[in-house]
Amino acid sequence: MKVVIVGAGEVGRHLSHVLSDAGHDVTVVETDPERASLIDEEHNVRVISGSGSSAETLKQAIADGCDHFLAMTSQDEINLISCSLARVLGAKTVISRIHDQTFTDTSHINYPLHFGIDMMLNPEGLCALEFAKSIRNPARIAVENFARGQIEAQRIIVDERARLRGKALRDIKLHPEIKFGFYQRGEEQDIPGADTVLEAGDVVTVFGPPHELYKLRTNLDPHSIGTLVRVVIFGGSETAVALIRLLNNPRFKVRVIEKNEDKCRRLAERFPHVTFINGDGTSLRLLEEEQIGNADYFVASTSDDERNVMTSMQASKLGAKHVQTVINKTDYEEILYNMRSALDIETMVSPRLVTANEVVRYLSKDPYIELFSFPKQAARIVEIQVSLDSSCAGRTLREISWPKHAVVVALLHKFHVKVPGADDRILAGDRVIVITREENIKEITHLLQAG
Amino acid sequence: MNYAILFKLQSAIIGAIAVAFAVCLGVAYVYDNQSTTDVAVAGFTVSFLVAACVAAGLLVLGKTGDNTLFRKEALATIGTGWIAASLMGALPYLLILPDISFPEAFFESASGLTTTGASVLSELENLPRSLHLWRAMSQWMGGLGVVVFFVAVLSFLGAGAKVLFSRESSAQAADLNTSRVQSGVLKLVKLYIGLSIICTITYKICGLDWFDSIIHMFTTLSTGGFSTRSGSVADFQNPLLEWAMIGYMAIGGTSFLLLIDAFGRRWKSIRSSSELKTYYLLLIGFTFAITIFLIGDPSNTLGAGDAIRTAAFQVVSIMTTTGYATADFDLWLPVTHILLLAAMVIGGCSGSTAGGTKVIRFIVALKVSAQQIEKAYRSRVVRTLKVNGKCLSINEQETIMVYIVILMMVIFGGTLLISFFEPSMSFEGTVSTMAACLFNIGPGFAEVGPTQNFAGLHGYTQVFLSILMILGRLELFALLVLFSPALWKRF
Repeated sequence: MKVVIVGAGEVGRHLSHVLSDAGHDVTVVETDPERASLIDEEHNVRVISGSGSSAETLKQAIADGCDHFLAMTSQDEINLISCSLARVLGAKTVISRIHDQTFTDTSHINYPLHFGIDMMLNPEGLCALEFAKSIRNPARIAVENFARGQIEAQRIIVDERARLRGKALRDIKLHPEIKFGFYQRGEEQDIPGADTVLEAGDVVTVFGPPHELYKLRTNLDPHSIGTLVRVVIFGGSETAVALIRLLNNPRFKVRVIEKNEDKCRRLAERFPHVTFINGDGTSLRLLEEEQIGNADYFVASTSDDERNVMTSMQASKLGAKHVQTVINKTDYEEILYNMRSALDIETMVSPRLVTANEVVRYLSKDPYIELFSFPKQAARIVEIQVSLDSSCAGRTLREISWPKHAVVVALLHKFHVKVPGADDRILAGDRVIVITREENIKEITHLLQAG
Repeated sequence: MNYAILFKLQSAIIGAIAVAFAVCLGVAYVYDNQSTTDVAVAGFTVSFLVAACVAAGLLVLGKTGDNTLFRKEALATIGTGWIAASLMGALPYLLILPDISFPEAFFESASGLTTTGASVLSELENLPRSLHLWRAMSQWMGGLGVVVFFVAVLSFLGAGAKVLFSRESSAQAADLNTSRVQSGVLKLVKLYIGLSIICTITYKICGLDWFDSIIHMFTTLSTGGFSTRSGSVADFQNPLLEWAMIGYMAIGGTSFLLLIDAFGRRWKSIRSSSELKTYYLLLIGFTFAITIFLIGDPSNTLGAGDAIRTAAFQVVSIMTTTGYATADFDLWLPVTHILLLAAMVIGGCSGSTAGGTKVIRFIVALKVSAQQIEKAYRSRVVRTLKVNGKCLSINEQETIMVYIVILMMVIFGGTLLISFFEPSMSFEGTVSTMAACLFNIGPGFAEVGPTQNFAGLHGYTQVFLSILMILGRLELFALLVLFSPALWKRF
């Protein structure tokens, strides 16, 4: 496949490396001649020196076809312009990196549609999602995110005191975006129907938006709802902002330590419910004064890896229960990962890596991608793209004869993700996330991808 | 200091007064009682001529020179303009009423223009109707602001219009949310006139005659408080009218900018207005508390319904700084006096015609205090202060806190001076005189209670109180800067 990448920064470089290694034809567009020559030396890619927002440069890059266009500079405006141009110049799929949350807000104008973008990626957002995953859910429940965090899967054990116990699914008033995907009762495992009655001890897997799932869980397993979760974030970076957004629920008490006073003030205006501390997070006295020892989660999110790691170690020594940190520099990744347990750092996430993984997954040619498999169970969650010549394209879910054990839990139409109802249509090029048994995967793949 | 523009704008202010005199002159001709026509016509003719000549003279003085209006000139215009207008407005009283002294006339005129509603006159029923009209009309003009009226018309003011507007009104020019301040002010004027018409018709329906309707409309919407009867609204003995007045007074104390939003169906700004919510909650809270104390009072003779109405009327009248009375609250339990005094100090919303410290300043002061208390043990924490859905910068917070400090000092110093001027006045009387004048309310307690008036005070006290009224109406700064020598110097 022919891939054009604009911007040879940390993300762009890593992507060009991964994609060219996977055997794709990669063209990199970069303004800075020094960086351009660096990437020219390092990787087997074509490098074009020039601006990503210039039509002339892009025309040259796209001239002999472009299957995927990736705008990966750190500037949103350049990304948007180059995506818009690439769409006009004939790129087939267009992916953009976006920092500013303004552009993901579609209430006034649909930015992705307006600029002809198929997928928007926010490295810091993806990174924050990794952190939020464990903060939002106590460890003993398996959780997985799909569709960039907009849909979450949770396994919930129905409690004896659950309000919904003994009710058939038909009688439970569910939020329209919530789906029961799978249930397990003793040895019996199945995909539930409308008549399935919930009993204590059942393990159900539910899909839906995180907030709605949280509400459902209070009804199914009131036990597992933790009390107040105290989160301390070191550094008011973009990742921190994305994390604060994800933790927008009164049960999270978030405290951010940031050195720059202006930044503190600006952030405090945006997030009045969060406490901002203006000070140096590396100072032991400050950490003690702010009672880091009582925090449930400590997340180091600055752009300085050394500070991140040192402060994380300090925090876990002071008694923070779970410590997470961002790694920005590629060179540190491996050694830090190996020393994870020695350093007492629970989660390490690199924004660059999660972005590249997301793109690679999107570009992959596999008939299906296995997203998640439940331990010791036959159920699998897979993501399948509907091919252009599929016989299912243009039909509603109700009209398609699905195998018995299959539930469509998410429908990804371009940048839009939803939990579909029976009357939602599947279009060619959409991706569906299906929960099914291992033996049915082939059948479903065939159904969605054969003419 | 650019004196040319100062004179030119003064000429506009005095000109506006002259126009008002002309209207009153017309009414004197047509509508006054036989016995008073002659003196009223003569009085207003002379007043009109004097005002017109002064306006023309100022216009000539200000003819040369450029039209640029800086902050300095704008402040000086407002400060001197209000003093000049009050002096000019005293003329009809001096000329028409036989035994009135100059301080009394000045007091009455300032009390009118600043929408205070404190009076030195008794036997109001004997006044010529044209003079009633002037009393009420001066409040109506002063309610929105004498200068505001011509800010909308004079296009040469440029950016200076913003300063003029925000110094005279308690709202900020930025809140108008229009690209030209003139068009925003024009909207305000239209709203004011529209409300006036609706209000007049309502009063007429409630049973007043047209003349009384118009007079009371003038003094309700401007939260002024002059009435045509010595016993104020109580004399009408009309519960329906009282409820209507409660409604219109409350509207007068509401931010007019929000009213414009309401008419434009922009509910978002109304929903996010913490000031509006607090204002109405306070009105309801004070009414509730006073109703309880009224019913609990052993000497009370009112039924529950009457008690609620009386309490609501007094609370709304005092908190919006109108100053009408339907009951002699001086006879109520002392605790109600403290509650009413609190309502006096708080006042209405910013951007309304009401006086007082303004609800929003109280909200900000409380929030700043709470944050400072937290800062004492947690110095590094950064918090923002949100009111009306917007963040206030440190600078804006400081301005508000400083305003409150200056206000406190003025109250302290003023009370001290009044007690020197009137050594025999009771404690309650002295304190409430201060509050009633500075916050543009009208009646106070004891010697200046709702059934009393300010005629018994010394002349110099009356002049001092008149200055206090203007000081309060202009929210201190526009008048205080006049005492700063650097304002007047060329360099």
